[in-house]
Amino acid sequence: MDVLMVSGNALGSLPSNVFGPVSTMASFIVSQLDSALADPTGFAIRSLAEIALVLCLMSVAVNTVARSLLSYAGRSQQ
Amino acid sequence: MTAAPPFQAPLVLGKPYRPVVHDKRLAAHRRLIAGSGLARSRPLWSLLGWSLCAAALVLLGVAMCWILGTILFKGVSALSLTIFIEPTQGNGGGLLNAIEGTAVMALGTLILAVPLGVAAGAYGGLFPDAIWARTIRFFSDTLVGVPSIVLGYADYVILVQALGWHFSTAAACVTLAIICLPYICRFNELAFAAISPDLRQSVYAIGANERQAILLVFLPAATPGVLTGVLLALSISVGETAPLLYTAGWSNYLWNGHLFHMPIAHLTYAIWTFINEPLASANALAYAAALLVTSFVLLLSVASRLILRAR
Repeated sequence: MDVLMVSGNALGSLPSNVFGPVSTMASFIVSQLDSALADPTGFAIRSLAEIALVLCLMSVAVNTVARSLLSYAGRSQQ
Repeated sequence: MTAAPPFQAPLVLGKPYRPVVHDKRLAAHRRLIAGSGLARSRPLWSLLGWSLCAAALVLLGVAMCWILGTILFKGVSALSLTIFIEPTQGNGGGLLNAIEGTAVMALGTLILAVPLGVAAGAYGGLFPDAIWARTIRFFSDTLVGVPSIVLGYADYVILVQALGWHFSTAAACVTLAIICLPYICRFNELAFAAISPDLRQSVYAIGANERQAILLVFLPAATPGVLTGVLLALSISVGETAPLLYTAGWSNYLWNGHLFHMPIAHLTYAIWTFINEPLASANALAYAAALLVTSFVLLLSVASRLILRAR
């Protein structure tokens, strides 16, 4: 939410410089849900679900790598 | 019979005492560092490290003062008695409905999350190597990393749509409880893990079973950690915005006691929505809500630090 408030939420374009507006996956979900609810086909809701799934998988992957690194470091110290 | 004299390090004038190191790998590391010039550049690295720490401190301090100053400056001028005694009416009125809704959701979150979190934390802290404890730890760590918007969206799809709860107090409380649960769990795990082995052995030695030991001895001993986790959960539940947009909705009316099918107001929605409105009265509501939320979270943070210090 806080990122969405300051990032400008530029959809469909890459930022040209560091001061240009940008959008993140989380801010995209926040900003698009209202319009997605109005989509009678349900396709928009499923698209947002896919973004949420990707975010979730990224979190799980990073967490797994971090735990593996900690475990590896613990073994090497022993 | 006289007591043995306390250990005294052998002092050599002009040289600090260094214990003899028998570890060959450590000695090899020391020889490597001494020969590579790292030892000579150590003051420089130390200075660099301290400079980075000072820069981080200044950055954090300036950011926090800026935020608090802005909210105080604009929030205090927006505060009035109307904020506390009237519900929101369009883009004006007060914030009584939001204050009440936030309090209701915080209470519901605590009711759902604290018993589960304390139980899971106690298990993880007392039996750290058990497979269930490691599993809980993994899920807890993963859940902390998942963006709250993802949890809000998942709960929207499951609770609001599939189960038909609609925007409701129950959906909001369940979502906030899921968000708070890993924090409560980890704090409690640390608190229970800090219980001394002597105390644990003593309790079991006098014949207490697991239930008596946990409820009558370990839980009171871990109370500061438990309270800290509860306060942290409370501050999270008060300050969350994104998941509540999809689960709590918004209502201009006071809570009518229904858990399902009725949206409920909350302070963070007022900040999120009214700050973008072109009306001064709406902006004033947003700043007043921001001041209330920030003050409450700040108070909780100070309280939890005081509790931890007392421990």
